[in-house]
Amino acid sequence: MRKGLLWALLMVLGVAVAFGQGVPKIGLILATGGLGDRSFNDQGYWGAERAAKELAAKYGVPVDQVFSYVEPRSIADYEAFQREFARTGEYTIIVCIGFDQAPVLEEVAPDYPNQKFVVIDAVAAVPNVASVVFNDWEEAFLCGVVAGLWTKTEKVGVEGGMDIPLIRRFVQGFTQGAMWANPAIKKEDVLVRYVGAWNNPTLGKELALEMYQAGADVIYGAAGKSHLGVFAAAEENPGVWWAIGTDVDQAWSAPEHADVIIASGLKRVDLAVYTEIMKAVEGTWAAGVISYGMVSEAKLGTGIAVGSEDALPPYVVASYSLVDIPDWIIAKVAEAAQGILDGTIVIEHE
Amino acid sequence: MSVLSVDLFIAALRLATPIALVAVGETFSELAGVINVGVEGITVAGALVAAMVAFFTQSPWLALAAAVAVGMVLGALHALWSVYLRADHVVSGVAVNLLVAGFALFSTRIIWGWRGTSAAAPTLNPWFLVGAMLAVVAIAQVFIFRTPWGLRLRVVGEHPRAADTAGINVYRARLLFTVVNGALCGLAGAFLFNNLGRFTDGMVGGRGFIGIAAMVVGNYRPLPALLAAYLFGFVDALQMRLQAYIPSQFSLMLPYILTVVVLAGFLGRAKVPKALGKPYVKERG
Repeated sequence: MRKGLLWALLMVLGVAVAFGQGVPKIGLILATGGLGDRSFNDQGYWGAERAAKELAAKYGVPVDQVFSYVEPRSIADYEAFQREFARTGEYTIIVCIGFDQAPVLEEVAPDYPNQKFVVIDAVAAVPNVASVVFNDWEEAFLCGVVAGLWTKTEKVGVEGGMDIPLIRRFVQGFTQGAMWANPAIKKEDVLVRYVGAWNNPTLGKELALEMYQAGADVIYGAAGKSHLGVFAAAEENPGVWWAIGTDVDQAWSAPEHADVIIASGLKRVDLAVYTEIMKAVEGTWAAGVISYGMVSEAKLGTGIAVGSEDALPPYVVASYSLVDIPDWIIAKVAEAAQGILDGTIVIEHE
Repeated sequence: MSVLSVDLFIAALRLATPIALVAVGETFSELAGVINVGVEGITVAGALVAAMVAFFTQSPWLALAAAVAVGMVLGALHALWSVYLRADHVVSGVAVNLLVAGFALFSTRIIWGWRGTSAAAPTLNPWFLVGAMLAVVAIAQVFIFRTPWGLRLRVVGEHPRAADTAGINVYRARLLFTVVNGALCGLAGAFLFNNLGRFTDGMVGGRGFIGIAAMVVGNYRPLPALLAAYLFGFVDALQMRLQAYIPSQFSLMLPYILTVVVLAGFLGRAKVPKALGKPYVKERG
């Protein structure tokens, strides 16, 4: 009797284990900015969450059984989290958000050769890592076009988080876009400043005020949480000072500033994360560098949210902005997007 | 050069305001003998609570009062640990910082659904708080050096036994001035909230700690501490403008270089209260 009970228990356990192994599992390591940036990290989370919900429904298990995520407080935490996930061997794929995870992953990934990793926004040259990069300069170029056409002072600005290649590509794209759209704008009319931090909107605001006072009337923010300060600065002189957001439609994510945000660049981190997870689950995943953007194999991932209607979806789509953008500007943005797609506009970048 | 403009000096004043408030607050508590490295956390708490109260009541005035109140509560907590329970002052202060950092992430997610960031809320004109800061500095300067209470305060931190013999309640004085410190840090947090219109977890960004540095440079005097805070604010504002001329990596270094240089120059010279950080044990019998 007792033996029978034991066998029954073992069988139940065995079935549970076998069943558990059939269910894919997603590990997500966010960047140090953490959730709540209403942009980059949140998008990564949405992409993974969407995949997790679909998988949970498919296998009939709760979402938390297929999806775990962690929010490192500092760069020093990355290695521990990456190893913690990889060591279990349970995860179908581990998604690492943020450029600064790549160097750590180059150390960690070779120790777990059978573990699939994805890193977003940087390249880690390891055989079991898929490195997802975006053509950031494309969204920045389109934002530059809007800025160049909207400015009355013929002077615009960019606020970057740090002077690193990733952000310099934003600056390069934005500058070329503004100059393409408005011949009166020279390179020196595009002011470039760096906050030196991704989560300090107090400094971000001061820096934006400085550029507005120096004559720029449209500022493009590419500084994570810090450029929430650009919107706050623009509010000090509404109707004269304007802002452009990054990566998500910030007129939607920061609705109280929808009266000064004229457009937002789009970088669909969520789509990339979702796609990579699904590839891993379906067995079509491959390591290497995968770019997302208008000019890429995926043909999606970058764009702009501007105006009240989708002008050229999925690249030029409607925004929640309350600012009335004239049709001729939207048409010019769509023209630029078309030019990037068919190769008549080539954006130089490092 | 177009760098030196009126805007530069105005921006410096804005950037100096939270630093000066913390510096004056820390001057009070350290003169009484209590080190409070929890000022960073208390400032965060002030900004957070201001955002919460402004969001829910739509009243920036209530938010201001709440920010000061939460600063006082955290100041009292630090005094409870360090003065009455005789915990190490630095450990207790770090505990306050960690407590607030965790609470900020937790509460923003619960309330607004975004970790570390609040929604926008109604604000006061931040210049009103800049004015308040200048008034606080002036009052503190007079209070500490021109009133009997200021003298008692200094004796408590310098020679608590003498103060006790003279009939001053050392514990209560230390509690009182640590609470005052908390109130001023709460005010600094309220300024940061009113300046941006929302709370984010990185918005204080070390200004509490720089406030302690400004206090050291000011050598435990409010007016010089204000000048030191203004110097820190000025370099930050200058740094932003210099980015038009020199690579950002170099200009971003300036505030840090200044901190190191200034602290190296002033730390040894500051007239530190003799009983600073030492718990006072009242003799019995």
